[in-house]
Amino acid sequence: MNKAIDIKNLVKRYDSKTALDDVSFSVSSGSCFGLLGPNGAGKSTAMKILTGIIEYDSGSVDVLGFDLKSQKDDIRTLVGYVPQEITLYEKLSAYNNLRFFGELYGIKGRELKKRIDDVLEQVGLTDHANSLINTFSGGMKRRINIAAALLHKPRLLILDEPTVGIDPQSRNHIFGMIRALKKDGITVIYSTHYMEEVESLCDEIAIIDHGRVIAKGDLNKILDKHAVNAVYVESEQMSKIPVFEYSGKVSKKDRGWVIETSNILGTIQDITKKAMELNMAVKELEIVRPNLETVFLSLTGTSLRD
Amino acid sequence: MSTFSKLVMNDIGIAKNRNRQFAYWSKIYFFTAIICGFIIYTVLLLTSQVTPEVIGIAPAFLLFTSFFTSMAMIIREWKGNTVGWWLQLPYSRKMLLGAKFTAGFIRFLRVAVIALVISLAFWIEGMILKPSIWKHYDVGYVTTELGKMYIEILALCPLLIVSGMLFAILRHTKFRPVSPLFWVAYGGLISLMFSTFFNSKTNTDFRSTWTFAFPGLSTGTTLIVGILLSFVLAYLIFQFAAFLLEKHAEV
Repeated sequence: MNKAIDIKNLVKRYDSKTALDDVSFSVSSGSCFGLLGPNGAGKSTAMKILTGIIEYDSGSVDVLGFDLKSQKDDIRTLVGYVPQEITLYEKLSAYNNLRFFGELYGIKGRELKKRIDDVLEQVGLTDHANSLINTFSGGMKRRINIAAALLHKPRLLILDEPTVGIDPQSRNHIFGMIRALKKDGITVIYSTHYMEEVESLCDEIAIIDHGRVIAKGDLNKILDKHAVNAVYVESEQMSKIPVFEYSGKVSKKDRGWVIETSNILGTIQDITKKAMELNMAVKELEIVRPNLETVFLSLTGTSLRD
Repeated sequence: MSTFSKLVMNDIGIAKNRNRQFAYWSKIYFFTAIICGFIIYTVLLLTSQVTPEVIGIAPAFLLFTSFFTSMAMIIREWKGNTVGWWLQLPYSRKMLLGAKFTAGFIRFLRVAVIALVISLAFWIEGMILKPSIWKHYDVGYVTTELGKMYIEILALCPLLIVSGMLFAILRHTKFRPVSPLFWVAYGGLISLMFSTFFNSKTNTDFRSTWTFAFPGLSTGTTLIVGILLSFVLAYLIFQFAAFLLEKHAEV
């Protein structure tokens, strides 16, 4: 599969702070790539570099076959970018906002009208075309923002935390839209700190923390490689770190404990036995499904939301 | 309409997002200020504290507006969270800044026309209320003085517009600690400009500001040299601002 993006040894510094430190990853054409990491990890910086908004200090970045350093203008015409902030004119209707953005992308006349109709349908807001933006919910505004980024038919769509602060209906709509775009062969880069979103949407991911890529590649392979089997147990009488046979690393989560183990059934048996012996009231006892949260936890020792 | 015109219109603010209530109050404040200005001017005129030269001098203050307007147009992109969208548009930084420059110039012209109308109104009022003093300053005088003044202002305007843009961009790069030095340089330039200007205006033969700035040369030559210098400097600053926006902007 062709590479839509190829980043090698990317470094970006802000004064003394290194925002991106020797970052390398590639994105296959037509895939949905998830950039996962906590707030301040460097995701937005990476996105802004990819769209040519900011410069990088060293390394090489290839976007859709163009060198970012020397062919930035070519890249910008092929990329749609949805920033974290809503960028719309509140006093204009959705249609007029899109018309304005379309004109700035050089689309005119009938073609523009058709494109506006198409993108409104894509984001499911055709019925609200003539409503003023200031009457929209946060989620609807976000969908119009995405529509604006799709007007010029980009080959690469970059979404920076598109689901922050939006309603579940809009979130589901955005998910559906991303899946449809992927089917049409558009490469999507999706940054978030919600691991469920990445698991649900993306084929490939890079986990980024403190400006460094700590895991990257096919989602399933990362889960196989880094995720560990674990059991979650919650009991009011279990205030100290519990120690069981077969148990590995134990970490606090919510009001209970996540016990990594090489033998799930053995550990569950062990917990049950000890709880009965000590007459403990166990509120929750469950097998933790391997997911990106546990991958992140095992790689960094902290939760994604910490 | 071309893409460039669209960008310019967006920066002028003709097309989008006008807050009607704000626009309404802006008009009220504007007309109140005009009325207050005329009352003060009339009082000064009647007590002979104002001389006809003021007509030629007042529009010079317009130059300040061009600096602050262009600065505000750039800062607005950061404050309004539109900077990411703006910089991602598929156009070179020079084109984006070129649109802002053009918008700044058009806005300046708008203010200049208003100032011209006010100057003429001041002159007419002077002729009516103090005919004994003002009769020597006829239509020919006013046309020449205002004409000279506006040529000088228009010559310096591009320099101040790009300076405003550069200052705003500088604030959003790692070079922002240099900003205070920029203010010092700007303050120095403005005071030099105005001291030169006022000196030339108080001189009896009302030579052009440029003539005073370049002693020993004829008015025509110094005007051309001054305008060229201003334009070349404006071009260099524009190029530097585009470079900073491309290479060092922090978004």
